[in-house]
Amino acid sequence: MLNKTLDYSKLLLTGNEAIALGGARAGVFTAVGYPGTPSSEILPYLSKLKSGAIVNWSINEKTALEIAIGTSIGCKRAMFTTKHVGLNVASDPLMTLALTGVRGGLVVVTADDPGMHSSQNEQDNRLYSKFAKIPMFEPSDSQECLDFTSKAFDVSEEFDTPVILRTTTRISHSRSVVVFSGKFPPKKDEKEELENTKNTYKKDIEKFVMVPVYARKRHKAALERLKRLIDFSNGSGLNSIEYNDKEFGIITSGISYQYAKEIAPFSSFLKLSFSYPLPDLLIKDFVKNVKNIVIIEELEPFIQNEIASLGIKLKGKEYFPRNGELNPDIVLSGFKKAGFFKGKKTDKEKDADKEFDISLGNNLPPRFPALCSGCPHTSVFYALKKLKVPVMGDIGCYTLGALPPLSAMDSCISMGLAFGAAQGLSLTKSSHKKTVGIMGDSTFFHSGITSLIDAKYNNAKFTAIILDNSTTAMTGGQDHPGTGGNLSFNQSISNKIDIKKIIEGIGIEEIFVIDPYNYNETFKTLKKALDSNNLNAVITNRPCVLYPKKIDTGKKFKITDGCTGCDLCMQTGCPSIRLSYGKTGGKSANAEIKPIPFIDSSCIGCSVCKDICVFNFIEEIKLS
Amino acid sequence: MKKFNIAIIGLGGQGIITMGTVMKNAALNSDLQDVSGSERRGGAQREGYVETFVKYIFYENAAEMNSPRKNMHSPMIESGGANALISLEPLETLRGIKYLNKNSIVIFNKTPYIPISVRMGKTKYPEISFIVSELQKVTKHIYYYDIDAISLEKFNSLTQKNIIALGILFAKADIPIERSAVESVLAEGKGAENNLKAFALGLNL
Repeated sequence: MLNKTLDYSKLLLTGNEAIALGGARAGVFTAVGYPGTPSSEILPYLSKLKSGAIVNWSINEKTALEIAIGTSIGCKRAMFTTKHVGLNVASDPLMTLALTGVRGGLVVVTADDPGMHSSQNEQDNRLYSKFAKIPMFEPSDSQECLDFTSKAFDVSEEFDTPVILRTTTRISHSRSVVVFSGKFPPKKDEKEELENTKNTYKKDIEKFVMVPVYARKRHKAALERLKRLIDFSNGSGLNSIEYNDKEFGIITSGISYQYAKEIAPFSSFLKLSFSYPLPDLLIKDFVKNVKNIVIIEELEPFIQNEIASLGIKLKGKEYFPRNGELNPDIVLSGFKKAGFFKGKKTDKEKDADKEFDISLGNNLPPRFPALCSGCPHTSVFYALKKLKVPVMGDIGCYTLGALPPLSAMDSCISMGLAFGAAQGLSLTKSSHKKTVGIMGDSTFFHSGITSLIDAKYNNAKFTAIILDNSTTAMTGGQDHPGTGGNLSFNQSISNKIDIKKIIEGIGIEEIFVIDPYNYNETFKTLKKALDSNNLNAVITNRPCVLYPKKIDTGKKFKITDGCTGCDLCMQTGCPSIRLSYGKTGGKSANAEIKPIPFIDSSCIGCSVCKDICVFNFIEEIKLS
Repeated sequence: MKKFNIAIIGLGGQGIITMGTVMKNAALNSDLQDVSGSERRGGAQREGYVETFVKYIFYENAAEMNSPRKNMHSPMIESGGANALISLEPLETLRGIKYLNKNSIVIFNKTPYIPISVRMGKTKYPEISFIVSELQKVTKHIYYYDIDAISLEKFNSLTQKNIIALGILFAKADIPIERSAVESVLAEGKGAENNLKAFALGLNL
């Protein structure tokens, strides 16, 4: 599908892919970001389109936005992609970028995660647009993702402002039909582009140097820009009214528009696509013409409060929750509460076939995600659990080390928190055990380095563990400085940053490198590191079993006869070890009949359970 | 506007998202007028619950189809809104029961993947007979197979089980797109030969 070069094509794209295509069509010069669900697929797809854009992962979101800003100062278009919490990391440059404005168009794509499918919070990043005084687009499907991304660059340049394009999980990760006109995939002439850029750099100190004397002027300019943007919001046609039954009206944006449209299509709609600043005139018009108006939006009452500040009190959060994501059922129940279906039958009620009992399917065994079979993180957490130490954790696959049965991580709050929190916790002496800070390789680059420097500088005493699996596993195996590769170039030694050398450079003298597939050695080394009173570091060196390619050691293990079902191996949480209910053990300590575990065919042969079974009931299957 | 909704659920690594994408791309190649649907991702490789929806939409007339505002349909399925449900894991079938109505077709794979909570002895994994009786409270159209075993036997791999399940879907439910549309999507994709075989196998189960 990527090789079509038609002038008109009908494509089936996710929201993320459509945003990438929109960027390519807008002639994006630099596209950067840090991986994070649900935003991770935008940059890889843009890279695959080969539009001529420079597309790369950055070390973290702040650096990414700074790269985008530099590109914009060089009069080229830049796109920065992030998940919602990543925008917090980039918020420092963002807030002041709102004052300087741009030269080349600059679009910030923030993909929010209502319902927290894969996030530590569900903050509503629409509030950033108001906070920073930056205009915002909210697409409702893949077609709008494509159209609005291109449009956002035009608005950015026309109004001299960065622009936020805000999606949510159900926009980013839903597929729908997109009509694309123009050559697909779009491609620009790189040579010509560079030729046009050559020696065009111009200084503009008053615009880009935000010392107080210039920043005060720029703040005024940003406020004036906001007034012009309100006119645009009213008149650009992006925000539009659809009059149907004037008894019922709905003001909404993003995914909520789709739900509302599907469930109460008879209503009149004010659809907000350009949702900050709001179109005051359109709102007043709508309020004048429609009797019962409800605002439906996921998470915060953003639109509701903005409209209230115009002096118009409308209801919204009275009917719809402020937490979690919406779905058709929640939306229907909200509309019912709001009286939209009084004396009316819903689609479901009209269709008598759709009877269902909502109590069915409750109380099922929960299914938590687990570390993979052969995951190199498993043995480290198993050892930490045995060592009973306080563990300040971080964000990545390894956060699963906090779930049972491992339960060996005691905090997960923000990316790169572990070493800072470990320093702080160790100061309190609230545990007689040495504190551990643990994070992955990508997280270490993202924001762990600074806190490790701080630890050395301030004489902290804890053990820093870096689970180096040579990839950003949680989000799908993206490259990072430690892999030496990126979207636009293959892995190479010359681009690879060595974690051990960084730690040496900080001046930490005790550094242990361990093979986590050797459990006994892992345990011994961790114990040694914890027995030492120094700030020290432990680095694991096994790659992820999934990325960049699936790993199978070729070995298989089995549990032999005689196993009493003592549960030790089960405590690893390895998904390949299961209980077989038919079979029970001979002699458990308390003579209780216990089911015996077995190792299924998904075993990849890491051998950790063999080390853990101190009774030697696990052995390698000799393949003849 | 008429709709046909398919919910596909299972676990990370079973090819759930791929099934949804195949079914959506098939619609793009057919006379069908529109298609959309959500994909739940994130942490998906690690035994977590994964679901994807396929929503086929037919318009009454050209004017309805061409109105960009009419073309909006949420990527989600409401409770009771699935015309068909495919589940590649028996317990997860029950997690999807909310999408069923009395006419829904249910196809599920009876090979269990035991969650940690059960592995640790905290809860019990339900019997297949219980799963079936719960489903029967909603619909009579229930079909289940040991798709893992079938895939292993015919292909010596579990990779084909998702496509086998798509074949079964076409055999059991009145899907409003042509089989050939699915076949041509499979023919263009990776592992085309085995996937076409797997699809044909499912059709004849």
